[in-house]
Amino acid sequence: MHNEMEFRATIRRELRSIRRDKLPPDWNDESHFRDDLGLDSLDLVEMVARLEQATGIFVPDEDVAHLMSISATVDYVRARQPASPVTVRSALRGDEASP
Amino acid sequence: MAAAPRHLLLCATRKAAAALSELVEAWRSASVRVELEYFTGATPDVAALVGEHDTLDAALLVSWARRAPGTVLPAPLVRRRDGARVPIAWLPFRDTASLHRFAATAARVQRRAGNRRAVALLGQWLPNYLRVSDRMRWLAHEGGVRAFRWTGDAITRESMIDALGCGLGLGLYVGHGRPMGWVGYHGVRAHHFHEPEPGIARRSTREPMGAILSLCCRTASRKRVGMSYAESLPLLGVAAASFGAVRDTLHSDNTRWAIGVCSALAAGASTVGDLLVRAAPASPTALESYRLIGDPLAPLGTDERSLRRAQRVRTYA
Repeated sequence: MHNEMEFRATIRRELRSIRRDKLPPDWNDESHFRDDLGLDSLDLVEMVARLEQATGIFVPDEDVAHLMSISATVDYVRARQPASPVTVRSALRGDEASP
Repeated sequence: MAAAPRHLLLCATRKAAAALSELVEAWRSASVRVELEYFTGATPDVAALVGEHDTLDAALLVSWARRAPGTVLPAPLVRRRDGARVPIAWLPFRDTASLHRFAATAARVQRRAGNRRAVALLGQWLPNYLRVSDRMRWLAHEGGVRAFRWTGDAITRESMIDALGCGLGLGLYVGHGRPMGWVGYHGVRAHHFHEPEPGIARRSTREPMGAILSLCCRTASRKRVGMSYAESLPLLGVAAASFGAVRDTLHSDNTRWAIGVCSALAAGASTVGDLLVRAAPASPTALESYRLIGDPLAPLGTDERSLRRAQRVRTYA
């Protein structure tokens, strides 16, 4: 599950970037984005934008509520990418997703 | 190291192509292979033309100004035959003088030897947009891109318009938008760029920007306007390229673009077309709502002189 571990690490990194110096000292993959980590709607929109960049999948606005934690996000992406459980594409480096 | 040759399709009438000769020459000097496709009657389907190619890097359609950006092109990016995304841009042919002005502007930007990465962050004075601007500034900083925050809380409209004359490679507006302009700064219209208000001295040596991106509603829409704001900017010589929405947009889609643009800049996008290809969100509505106007290969590099001028801009922040 190398890809999934990499993906979880990517989300953790993005959360640290979005909630710079504001994350609680003890948080894990089950921590609730809103209740435990304090993300608000704008933070979640940014989180989704970064998630889409990293995976190439599209998250409709009505699905954002499902992305409650890192684990829930991994499950969501896995469900959307059944062929390869969690693939992190290198969009941030400018690579093109396959059409 | 010489830049890799690029391939551009210019679709225009002979008269329009002649008016753009200065830009064609500048493209060729910048190692761009320009393929000319002349037409006389109906405006051709550029997206279909691009789909027949394997090597195109960009396309520009110049046609009658009575056609609107929202109907003449389907999106700012379309796919080539091999599946790669290609930026396609629109330019309305209103009169020869405005085409000459655009060509001179875009050619000047093409010839500029700027290799510094800098962006002007523009935004309406509302908490949501100021926060997005702050995030973009942070992301730009993380990516080694110099960001100037010239949002509505920090600078007046006249000073902001003056500041854009520094000649930075990229300007990015977040806030509300209308077909006639930005709602921020108490309303910005195209005429503000060439008609200084009485008693206010305008910088005499305005340098065009590479591109101005309006991440907001409708600045490329023709609803109740003869020419949209996003189209007017390149035609007035404010920037070589402009990016705007042809309809209402979602805040989430605009944020997707904003995040993508920051990442693409940090990753080294060198032209506005390259930037959009790298930044394109996965959301179909985010892509289809926008159009690219002007030079799709407009460079985003900023030269030292422009950077120094931008550093001297005074703000209230």
